Amino acid sequence: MRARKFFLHRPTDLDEAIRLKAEHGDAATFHAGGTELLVALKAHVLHYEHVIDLKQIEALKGVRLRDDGTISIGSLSTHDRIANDPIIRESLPGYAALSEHVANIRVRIAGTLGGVLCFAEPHADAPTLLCALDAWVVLLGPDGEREIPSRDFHLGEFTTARADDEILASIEIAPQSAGTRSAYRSFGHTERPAVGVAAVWSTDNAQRLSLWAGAISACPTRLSRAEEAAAELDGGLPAEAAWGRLRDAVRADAQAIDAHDDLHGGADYKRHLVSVLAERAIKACLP
Amino acid sequence: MDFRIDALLPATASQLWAIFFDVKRVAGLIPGCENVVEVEKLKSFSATMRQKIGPFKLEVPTRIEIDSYDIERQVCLKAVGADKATGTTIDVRMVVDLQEQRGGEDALCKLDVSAGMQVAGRLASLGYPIVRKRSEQLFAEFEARLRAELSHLDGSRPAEDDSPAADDESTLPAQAQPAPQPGVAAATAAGAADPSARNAAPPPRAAAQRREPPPAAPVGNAPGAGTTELVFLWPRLGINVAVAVGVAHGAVALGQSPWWWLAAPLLGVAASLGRRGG
Repeated sequence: MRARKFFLHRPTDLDEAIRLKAEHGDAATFHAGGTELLVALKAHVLHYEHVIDLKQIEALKGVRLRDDGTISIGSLSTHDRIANDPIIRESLPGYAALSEHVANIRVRIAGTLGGVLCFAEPHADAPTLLCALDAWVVLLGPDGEREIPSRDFHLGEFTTARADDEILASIEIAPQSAGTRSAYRSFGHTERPAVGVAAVWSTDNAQRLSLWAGAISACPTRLSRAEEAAAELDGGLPAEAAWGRLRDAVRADAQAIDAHDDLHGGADYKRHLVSVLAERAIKACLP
Repeated sequence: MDFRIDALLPATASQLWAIFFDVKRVAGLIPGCENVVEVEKLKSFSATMRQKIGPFKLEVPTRIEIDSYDIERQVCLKAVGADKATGTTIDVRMVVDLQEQRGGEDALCKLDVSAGMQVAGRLASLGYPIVRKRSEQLFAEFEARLRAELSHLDGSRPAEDDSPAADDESTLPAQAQPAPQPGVAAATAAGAADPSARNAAPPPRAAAQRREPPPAAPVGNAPGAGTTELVFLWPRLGINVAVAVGVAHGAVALGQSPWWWLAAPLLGVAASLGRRGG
């Protein structure tokens, strides 16, 4: 099926893009990689008279390391670019590995991180790990710039805290301590994950474990019992022993998740997957 | 998907009936339901259902049919519609049961709404959980708006809920609250125009029983209700005009006035007018 006709605007700077959106209002939408939007336009479940293509805006591209060590990922960075970026590979190898396995090669080449976050399809990989990493997003709109923690950005299925006239400019990740390791493990029968679990384990930080489950519910869910149990653990425990102490808490967290039966699997099956994937992710973070 | 609202409300059956049998009024309680128009008096209505899930917008022209009703006791209706843009269809069957319960000075009414909803098409491919979640939100919002509507009816009292999810405030005993005003109920109830019927023993609970609508039915104020509209009746118009032309031709051929060419067709057209509505 072909998409209905629309006007394609190709602004070269952010101000022009924001002005175009203000001019056309609800009849216009922003377009990044197109792996979500164009599919929806072709399926005729979405229609816009004006599509504002952001790909000409250089300010939204690339991965930068700020002076304070914060990693700034431009929203137009593709999954493939993130997977192969030297800064990400060195500082966040867990995130580079995630980006290497997103969907298929076509999606990784064309799909952007900003697009995934803004479209807010629940069965996505990146949002879960970004929540575990305590990342935050920078939004630009007619009223200026604002920052929102990734954990508060996702409000539900296809719904985020971004206003319609705002552009997601970048995703910021605070510098990780030397003893911090992150991992993401997912499983699904399709290219989208049925369940994904992200763990960030810090051996030199009071906040020892950040554990999040994604794709199983409307937005990423924190496994707080497991995090609290991890804070009580002695340092230097081997991975198997650490998991043995956390297993019950993770299972309790998994049972509390508001999961539903769908094409990706039954609710109980997906809750079971949370425990399995949490074990793999935690063990990947520990020596 | 099946949904149910089971609540004990501090209102008379008449008050609730006034809301549920006034399709325009009940539509106002359904989030996203707009442009309600009465197509056939007390039987068929058209409306537009608008919903939004993230960027996905749904606009479904919907036809609402009242299948049967039993005054102040039950109304069965169905709503069917399709969104051409997204190829999404919605089919809702709903049964609303009212059962008045008198406890002390207060009049309480048990409201039982059972609904079955089917959503199909491209937008439904978003996933069952998403559609179900939105539907649950709609029903919850509908119940909240109904309670607000009732609180306007009888002053300022909150409604009482016998569902487990009700909060502490809403489960306060109804006896502690002022009784509803019978006058208000009589003035607003759809079935209140016939007081004798309300005082008589309750009718048997035959769900499919259709009764004559009360004269003061709230939908009676729909645009165009009670007026007579003149329309051309087909194929009578074509036949009449053809006959008139033939008559005029014959008359002129027989030496009558050429005004027959004007008068005969006009008479044919006039004879083709009929009445609609009323």
